[in-house]
Amino acid sequence: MKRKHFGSILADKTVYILLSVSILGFILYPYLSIFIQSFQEQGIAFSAFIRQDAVLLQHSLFIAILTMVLTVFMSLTLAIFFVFLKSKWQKPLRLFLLVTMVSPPFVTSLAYITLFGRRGMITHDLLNLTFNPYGAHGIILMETLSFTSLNALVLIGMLHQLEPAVINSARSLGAKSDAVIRDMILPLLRPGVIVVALISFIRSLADFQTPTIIGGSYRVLASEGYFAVISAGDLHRAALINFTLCIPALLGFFLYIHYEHTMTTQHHGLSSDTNALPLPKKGWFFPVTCCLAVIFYGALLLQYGSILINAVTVKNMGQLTFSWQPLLDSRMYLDGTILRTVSYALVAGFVGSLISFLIIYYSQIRQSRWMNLIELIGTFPYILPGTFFGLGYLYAFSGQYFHLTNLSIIVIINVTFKQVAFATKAAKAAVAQVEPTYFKTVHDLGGTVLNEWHDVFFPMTRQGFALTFLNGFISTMTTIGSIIFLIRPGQKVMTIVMFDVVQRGEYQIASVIACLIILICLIMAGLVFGILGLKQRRWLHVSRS
Amino acid sequence: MFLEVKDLTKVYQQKNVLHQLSFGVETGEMLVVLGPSGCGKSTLLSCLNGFTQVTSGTVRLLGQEITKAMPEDRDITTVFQSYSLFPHMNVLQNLMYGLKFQKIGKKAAKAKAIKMLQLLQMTEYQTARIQDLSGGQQQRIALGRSLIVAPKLLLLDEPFSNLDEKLRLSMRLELRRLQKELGITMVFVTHDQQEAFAIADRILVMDAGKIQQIATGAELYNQPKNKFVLTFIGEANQLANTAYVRPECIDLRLDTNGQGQIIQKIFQGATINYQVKLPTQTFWITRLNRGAAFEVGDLVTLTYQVQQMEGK
Repeated sequence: MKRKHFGSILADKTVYILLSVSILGFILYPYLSIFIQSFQEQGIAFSAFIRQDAVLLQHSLFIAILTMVLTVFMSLTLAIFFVFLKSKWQKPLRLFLLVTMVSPPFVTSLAYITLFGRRGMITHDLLNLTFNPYGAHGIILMETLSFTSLNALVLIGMLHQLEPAVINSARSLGAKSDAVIRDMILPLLRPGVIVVALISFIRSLADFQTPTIIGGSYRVLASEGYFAVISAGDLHRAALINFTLCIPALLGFFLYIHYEHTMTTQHHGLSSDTNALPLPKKGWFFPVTCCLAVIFYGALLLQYGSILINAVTVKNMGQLTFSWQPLLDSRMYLDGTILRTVSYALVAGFVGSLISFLIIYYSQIRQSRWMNLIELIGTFPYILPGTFFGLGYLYAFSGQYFHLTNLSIIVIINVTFKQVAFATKAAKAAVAQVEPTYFKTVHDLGGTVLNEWHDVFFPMTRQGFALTFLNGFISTMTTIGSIIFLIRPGQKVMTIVMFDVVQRGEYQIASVIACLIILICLIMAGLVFGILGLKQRRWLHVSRS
Repeated sequence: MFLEVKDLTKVYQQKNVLHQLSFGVETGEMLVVLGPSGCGKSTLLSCLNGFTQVTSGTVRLLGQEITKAMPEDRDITTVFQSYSLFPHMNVLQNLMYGLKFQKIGKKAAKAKAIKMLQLLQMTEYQTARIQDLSGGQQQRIALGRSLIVAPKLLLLDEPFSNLDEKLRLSMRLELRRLQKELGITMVFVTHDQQEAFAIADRILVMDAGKIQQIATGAELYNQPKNKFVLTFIGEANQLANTAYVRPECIDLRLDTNGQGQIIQKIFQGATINYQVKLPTQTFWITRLNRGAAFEVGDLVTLTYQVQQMEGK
C-alpha cells in the first residue's frame, strides 16, 4: 500500500516538474532570449528603426485595417445568412468553411495566381487580359478570403449559443426577420464581431506568406522580417520588426481577452431545449446576405477547384488535359517529406495535447496557482506572431549553451509547444465537463493520483483529447510561420516545400502539395471522428442495456 | 369559441407527438395543459404560437384560421420557461420592445411600460439591468413584456418551474390577479398538479400526445375519465375494473376483530398516511392529524364507498 502511494507521489511530482521546466524552457526562454539579446546586440536602435522604416509600419497597418474591415463585413454577412437556413443546409456549408481550416494559409494566394496571375486561367486564358495581381489589393483580397472562413465559423458558433427563446420571444412580440437581426442578433453578436476583428487584425499583421507571394513590390513588416532572416541573415532587424508587430498584437490580445469574456458571460438566464426556427426569408437582409454568400462560396469553389484542376492537369496546345504528370513531378520535392511531416504532426498533436491536459489537470482540478502561471505562459505563442516564436528559438537554441537548431527535434519541439496555447483552452473546456467529485471518489475509495489519471481524468476527457489532438495534427500539417527559420535543407516539411515552390513559380507542384495536405488532414479528421463515433455508439449501447 | 383547435396532429421523425387534438378555449378563460414530461404539452404550445409547424389539423383564433401563420403574425405572445429577456436591454427597453411593432410612439410606449411596471409592482426597476434582477423579478418582467402588447391569447410554458416553492405560490396569485384585471385568455402549460388546481378555470390532461380529459379541477379529481387521469391526479386505491376509492374517502376504525392490519404509518404533518393490509389487497388511507393516531400492528376495519371511472 505504502509503496503504491510512494510511486504515485513520485510520478505526480516528476510530471509536475517536467511540465514546469518544459514550458519555461521551450516557451518562456525563447521569448526572453529574443527580448534580451536583441536589445544587447549591436545594430540599429528600435526608435531609429521605427523612424527609418515608418513606411513599412504604415503599409502593415493599412493592409491590416482594410483586411479587418472587409473580413468582419464578409464573416458577419455569412453568419446572418445562416440564420435563414435550415440545419440541413447549414451543415454542408459549415463543412465547406472547415475545409479552409485544413489547408495551408497561403493556398488562397496560390489559387489567386493560378486564376488571375499573368498566365492565369481566367485573366490570361479566358479573357486575354493583362492584369497585374500583385500589390496591396491582392494582399487585402487574399487575406480577406482566407480569414473570412474562420471568422464566420466563430460567429456562426456564437449564433448557435444564443438562447433560442430570446429570438422566439422577439418574434412572439411581433418582430419580423429584419427586426430580429437588427435588434437581437447584431447586438448579441457584437462581442464576437470585436473578437473576430481583432483576430483578423493580428493575423494580417503577422502574415508574411501572402505579402511575400503576391505583395510584389509592396513591402510590409511581416514579409520584411522574413526576408531579413532568409535573404540577409539579419536577425537583429528581424527581431526589431517582430517587436513592432508585437505591440499591436499585445494590445489586441488584451482587448480580445476582455471581449471573449463578455462573449462567454452574456449568455444570460436559463437555457431552454427549444430550437429557434430559421427566420422567414423576408426583408432586405436575406437577399443581400444571400447574394454575398453565393459570391463568397463561389470564390471558395473557384479557389479549391482551381487547385485541384492545377494538380491533375497539364496544358497541351492551350488546352487543359488530365494528367498525373504534376503528381509525378512533385515526387522529387516530396521525397521523405510526407512521412516526416505526418510523423511530426502525429508527435506534436499527441504530446502537445498530453502536456496541455496535464497542465489543466493541475491548474483546474488540483487548483495549483503555479500551474495557472504556467498555463498563462503557454498562451504566449497564441498572442504573438508565429515568426516571433521561431526567431526566439533561433536566439535561444543556437547559442553556446544550447545548440539544437541543426537538429530536427527542435522543429518537433517548436510545433508541439506552439499548440499548447490552443490545446490548453480546449482541455479546459473538456475538463469543465467532468464533475469534480469523481476525482474525490477515486481517493475516497483508496486510489492514488495515478488512478485519477488512469480511471477518471483521461477516460472522461477522451473525446476532448481526441479533438485537441486532431487540431494539433492539422495545425502542424499547415503551419509555417514558427518553423520557417528552423528548418534545414533535407528536413523540410510539406508547407515549407510548398512555400518554396510557390516562390519559384512552380504552381502545379504547389497545387499537388496543397491537395495532399488537405487530403491527409481530412483522412485524419475522418479517422478521429470515425473512432469517436464508434466509441460513442458503444457507450450508447452500454447505457441502453 | 375564442380559440378552437381541431384534429391537431404533429408527426416528428415518424413519431406521432400529438394525436388529433380537439379542444376550445373561451374568452377570458385560463386553460391549463397538464401532463407528465414528454407528453407533448410543450409541442402543443409550440403549435399554437407557430414555432412548430403542424402536420395536420387547424387552429382558429376568433374564427380566423392561423394554422400556417408565422409566429410574428399571430396575435399570440408566449412567456417561455427560460426567462428569455433580452440581455442587452434594460427593464424598460424589454417591456417596450413589442410595442414598436404596433407602431406606438416612444413616448406612449414608455408611458405604457411604466404603467405595466406599476401593475407588476416593480416601478423602481425601470433602468435596472436584466442581469441584476432576481429569478422572480425576471419572470415578472417576462410576463409584463408579453402582456403589454395586449395579445388576444397569452401562452405560458411552465413559467414558474425555475422558481422556488414560496415564490411560485406568490407568482400564481400574481398571475391570477393580472389575468382577472386584464381579462386576457391564457393557455398555461405545467406538469405540477397543485399549480394547475390553483390557477385553472379548466384543465386539459394530456398523455402520450392524446387528450385524456378536459374538465375543472374538481371534476378531474372527483370524476376521472380513465385510469391515467385517476392515477395522475392525486392518489387512489384501485379496485376491480373501473372501481376505485380515494385514500381520504376511507374511514378507519380500531377493531380487535377487524380484518385489516396497519403495516406502515407515514407522518406528513397535517395528515398521516396508513398502509392497511386486508386478506385480498392493500389500501392506502389518509387521515387528518388530529391527536389520537393508529400504530403499526393495530387491527382495524375500513368503511368506504366505491367510486367508478367512466372508462378504463
